[in-house]
Formats: sequence, C-alpha cells, structure tokens
Amino acid sequence: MNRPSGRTPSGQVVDKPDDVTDDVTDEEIVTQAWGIIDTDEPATATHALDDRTTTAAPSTTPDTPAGVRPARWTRMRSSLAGPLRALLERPVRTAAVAVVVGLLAVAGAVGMQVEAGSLTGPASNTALTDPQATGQVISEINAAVQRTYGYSYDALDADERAAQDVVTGTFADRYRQEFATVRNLAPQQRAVVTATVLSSAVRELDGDHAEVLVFVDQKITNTQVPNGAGNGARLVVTAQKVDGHWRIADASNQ
Amino acid sequence: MTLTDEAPPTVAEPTTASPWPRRIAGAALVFALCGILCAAAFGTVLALAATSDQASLARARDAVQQAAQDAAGVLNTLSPQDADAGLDRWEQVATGPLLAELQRSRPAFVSTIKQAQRSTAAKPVYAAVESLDPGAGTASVLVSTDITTTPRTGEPVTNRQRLEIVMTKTDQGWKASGVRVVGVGQ
Repeated sequence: MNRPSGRTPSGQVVDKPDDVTDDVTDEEIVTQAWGIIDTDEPATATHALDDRTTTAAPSTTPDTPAGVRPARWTRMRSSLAGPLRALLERPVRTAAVAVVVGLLAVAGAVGMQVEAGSLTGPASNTALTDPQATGQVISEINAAVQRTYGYSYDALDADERAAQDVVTGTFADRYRQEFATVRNLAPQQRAVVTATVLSSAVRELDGDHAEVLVFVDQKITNTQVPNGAGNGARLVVTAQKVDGHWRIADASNQ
Repeated sequence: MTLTDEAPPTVAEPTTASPWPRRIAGAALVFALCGILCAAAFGTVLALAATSDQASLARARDAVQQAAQDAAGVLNTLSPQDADAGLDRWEQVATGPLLAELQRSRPAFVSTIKQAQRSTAAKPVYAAVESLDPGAGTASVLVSTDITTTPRTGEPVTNRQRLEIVMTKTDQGWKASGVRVVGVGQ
C-alpha cells in the first residue's frame, strides 16, 4: 500500500484519499512549506518519506478537521505554499515590508476609529434624534417650570405640593427655601404669579440627564402692581429623570 | 523522477540556515495580517458610522446649533466705524427672506448707525435647537444673546435678548433666514 498522505499544520499525519491526484512534486512543496513554518521539526523531506511509511496506520487523527477533509487541506496548502516559501526565502526583506505594511494598517485602523468616533460622537446626545424622548423632556419640563415658577397666595399649600413632585436634588432644597419666603410675603401682598413657557429646546439628552433652554414669562399681580407686571427669563434647566418622569434638578436664568 | 532525488535540497534549506530570520519574518507577516484585519474591522465601523441616519441627524443638529449661535452674534454686532464691513458680515450669515430684508434696508441701516454713532456688540450665551427638518433643510434654534449697546457718550447697556432664529440649509452651510425676538408677553 503506497497511498500519499498530507500533514496537518500541527504536524500530524493524515490520510490522503485516493481521489487526490498523486502528484509527488506538489506533495513535496507542501511538506517543505510546512516544514519551514514548523521550525521545531525542520526535517521536512524525511517527514514526506515518513508519511509514506506511517500511512500503514491510517486515521491516526480522525478527529482533526484535516483528518475529516484532507483533500481540501492539501489543495489549500499547495496554493499557499509557493508564495509563502518565496516570501520566507528573503526573510529580512519580507520582515521589513510586513512590519511597514502592518504599521500602516494599524495607523489606518486607529485613524478610522478616531474618524468614526467623531462621526458618531454627537449621536450620544439624543436631543432631536430621538423625537419621542425629546418630546417627553419638553412637555414635562415645560409643565414643571410653570408649576415651580407660579403660585397663588390663596393656594400656597397646593402649589408647593404640586411643585415638589417636579423638582429633585439641590433644586428641591432651593425651592423649599424660596417658597418659605413666598409663604411669608404672598398672603399680605395678595400675590399671584403665573409662569408661561413661550419656547423651549433640548440642548442635551443622554439617558436620564437633559439640559433644556426655556424662554419663560412671569406675570406678577399683587397689591403694588394690581394690573400686573411681566418679566421674561431665559432658564437653562438641568433635568433629571426620576421614576420615568423628568424633574428640575437645577435651573439658572442665564 | 523519484522522491529521493528531490529530497536533499529541501532537507538542507531549513537545517543549515538559522531559523530566526524566518521566524521573525513569519511573526512580521502575522503582524501585518493582524493589522490589515484590524483596519478592515475599523473600516467597517467607519462605513457604518458614516451612513448612520441617527449620527448624521446628530451632526446636522450640532452644525445648525453652532451656525445659529454664530449668526446671532454677527447679526447683532455693528459699529459705526466699520458699518459696511459689519453689514457684509450680516449678509454672509443670512439667506432667504432675511437676506432680502437686509439688502433692501442696507442704506437705511448705514445712515442710521452713522447718525446715532452707537455701536452694538452681541455675545451669544446659550443655544439649543428647537426643531430640525433635515429633509426640508430647515431648523429653528433658540439663542440667548447678550447685546451690549454703547452710545457715543455714556455707559454701555446690556440687553438680555431671547432670540428664535430660523435656519435654512444652503450650499454654504446653515444660514439664518429669519430672526424673531421673543419678547415678554408674546
């Protein structure tokens, strides 16, 4: 029995089926090429001879992919072997070229990654790009601003309760302090303040955090200005989403 | 041709030469291959990023916000010393109805500012895009702008303005096609 065989990359001996062309030269190139890679086992030609002697014990590695489809392996190795051997015959030049190519490729990869980052960077801010979430911020913060910045001397308890549901964090503390002043002064002045949002726009929206510009008017009526006086503010509201709803975490008239 | 005839040169090659140059060359080839695979992977990432609708909308939003903020500054800055240059700058950031209005009123602006000898300087403080229609190429942007007016004699006065700027996309980028002052009680 003199069936040709091939070797797997790990140097294992596998059977070559009979349908593979029995081309000795081809077989040798293959074994030479793998012999070069397998520098731990340099004697390639002897392996080629060995193969012929060890094929008497077929299917030594029936579980390897090469053992399953030796024909494909052999053909692939045949097609790779020539160019690879040619490259490795001039190792210094090959190493130099490969290092330059590798560095250029890595530099290109880094450049493309940076470029992709700058292209998708703005997308982490979903203001307007997520219309539904943006709409929720607008409607809830508009309502929160109107509740927080308006009150009526004859409904202070209800006003404070309503506002407390739409504020959070340090702004909640600030609101409590300022509302204590309102409680002292509003009843005797018969003060009524109505806040009306004219326009608002979300500048930043990232998960549970948002920043909103709110153009709001306050109309004030009290004993000193019975016919009412108005002023306009440009509020920058820092909003925080708490239990699915947006609250004012901070606000400043900028 | 027999097998033994061909065997000696192939035996000689790997055993006589030092394996190190070849090992290094092999490692370099592996490195180059890894680099190329890496580049291919990030190329795909870049291609996806470049074609993402979400990302392009976000970029348009940021671009129109910046353009509106710049326009708010330019359109509220004018000094009698270089009124013509200032009005040229106005026209550069304007388009559509606003540009037509500026061009029509230009002579009146020039004579007014030269008579009044009053200069204005605008500083945009904060801007946010209110709405954006990338298909139509229109947007509206809220811009808080501090406008400081300096009379010929006397102290400068700063007016905290609320502006709503209508933006239109042109071949030269986003430009202002309308400016509305959001006054109290409007």
